[in-house]
Amino acid sequence: MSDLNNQSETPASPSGINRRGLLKLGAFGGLASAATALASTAPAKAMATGAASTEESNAHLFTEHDDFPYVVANDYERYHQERTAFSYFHKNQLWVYPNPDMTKPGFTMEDIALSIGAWDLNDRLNSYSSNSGYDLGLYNWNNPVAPEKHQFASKEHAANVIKRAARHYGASLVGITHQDDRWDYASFFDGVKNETKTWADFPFKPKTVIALAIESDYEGMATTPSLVADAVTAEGYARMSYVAYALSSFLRNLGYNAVASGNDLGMSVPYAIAAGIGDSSRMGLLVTYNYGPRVRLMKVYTDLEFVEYDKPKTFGVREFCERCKRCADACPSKAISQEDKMSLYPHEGHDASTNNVGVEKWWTDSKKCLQYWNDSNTNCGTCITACPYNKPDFWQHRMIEKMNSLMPGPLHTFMREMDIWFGFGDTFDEKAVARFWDPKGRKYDGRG
Amino acid sequence: MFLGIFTGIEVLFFMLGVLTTLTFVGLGWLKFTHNVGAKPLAPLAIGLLIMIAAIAWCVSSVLEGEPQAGSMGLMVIFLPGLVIASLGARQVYNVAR
Repeated sequence: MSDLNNQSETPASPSGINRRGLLKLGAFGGLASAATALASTAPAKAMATGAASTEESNAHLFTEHDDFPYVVANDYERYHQERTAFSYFHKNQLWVYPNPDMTKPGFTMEDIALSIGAWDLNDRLNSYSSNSGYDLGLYNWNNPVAPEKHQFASKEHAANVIKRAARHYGASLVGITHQDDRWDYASFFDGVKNETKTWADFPFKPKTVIALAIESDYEGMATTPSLVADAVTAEGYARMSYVAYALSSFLRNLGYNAVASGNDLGMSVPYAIAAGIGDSSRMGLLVTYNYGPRVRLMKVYTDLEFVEYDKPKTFGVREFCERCKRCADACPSKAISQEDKMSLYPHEGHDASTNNVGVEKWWTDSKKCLQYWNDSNTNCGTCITACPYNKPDFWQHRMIEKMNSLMPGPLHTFMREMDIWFGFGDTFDEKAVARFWDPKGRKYDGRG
Repeated sequence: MFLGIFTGIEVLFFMLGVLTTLTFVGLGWLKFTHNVGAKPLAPLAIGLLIMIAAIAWCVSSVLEGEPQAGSMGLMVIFLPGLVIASLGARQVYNVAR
């Protein structure tokens, strides 16, 4: 049966494979190499530039849209900062925290100090801007601008330069979009000073909004709800401001008006969607392709117009969220909708007093959500931890996300179940706190 | 990890490269020296490749600190691969002996 018996054609080589067999083996190996090369994505380029170079190979997973990818009602009315749940809690003095049980993992003195350290940093940089207010700290409105406007060679060049600068300052994701009245607060509200201002008080008329996202620590966010996760949130808030401030300063030094913005001035999620850095989700947070919902968002408003704008991109999050519902199941305050489909208006019985009504979405009850922050002494974040899009940056998760984007709906339910079986997205996990602090496998002196 | 030069994931993918090469060479050896046809060879090849993919999954899961995902990978990826490869190996053995 073997080629060794076929002596009449060619003599066998000493290794047991004749020349014809060797040629066949060579062809076989060549095919295998070609298949490997095809399966990989420009490997040399990928190795040289990291995750960014996978963009071209992922292009087929994304749908680009000319307009905002979710329906906005004709009778849509602009949202006021005063209507946010944060403002509601300020006005009604509802921020009442019970004393934490300091014997519980994630709430010990060390965890408390970790959280306070990060919030202290943020408060020094931006005061109370994470909850309320405007024109505070690094998000201030009045900064010197270079007298002469720099002329960019082309719109594409301007966009590339801005994005590279943003990445240099620490942004994980950057997108550029037009300023849009729909996503800007109609008026600004400072719950501490009890002051209101409008765009008429703003120092210039913005034309462009640069949406930015920074990644939050995976291990820290795995501990939700705890003060370790709180420290991740707070450190994120601090980083948001200095990254956005640095980019705004960069633009001001090029002669353009620019103001950094965190939770103030406008709504970050629709701007981030419009700028093409993520997709809308059931929990109301932005889900990004690289980091899922484990990001913090900020913006830079500028009067620079000569720039190439990004288009909104969707990659199947809506379809996945319709069947998954892990965030809604995990939410301890039951503040996330269990409805199957997005809707333009809230369903009957939903308290929409703090919602931006008239935009297609799943409806969340922000008051319930913030009340749980009070009750748990944390910023919660269990929805982020539970989301199947929240994964470490490892190859197998990028593979699964690609599969999810290509799979039809019913298989999403299967993928959700597998995500649970494989042990991802556990919340209230005391072991996660231990893992966060565990020195095993960490070398702090540069040896590993 | 590994002489203090390479990370775990780098060593893993190097070893996976070695395993994949050995698999292809082995399959080629069976085909060209023992004249085993594509039909009995296919389940063996599929089973071996699934097992290699399972090793990649399981070791990566342990490296990223998700051991439960690694254990589940053994059950739902490696075991089916082992069963398919065993069935294929029996057919190949019957043809090649």
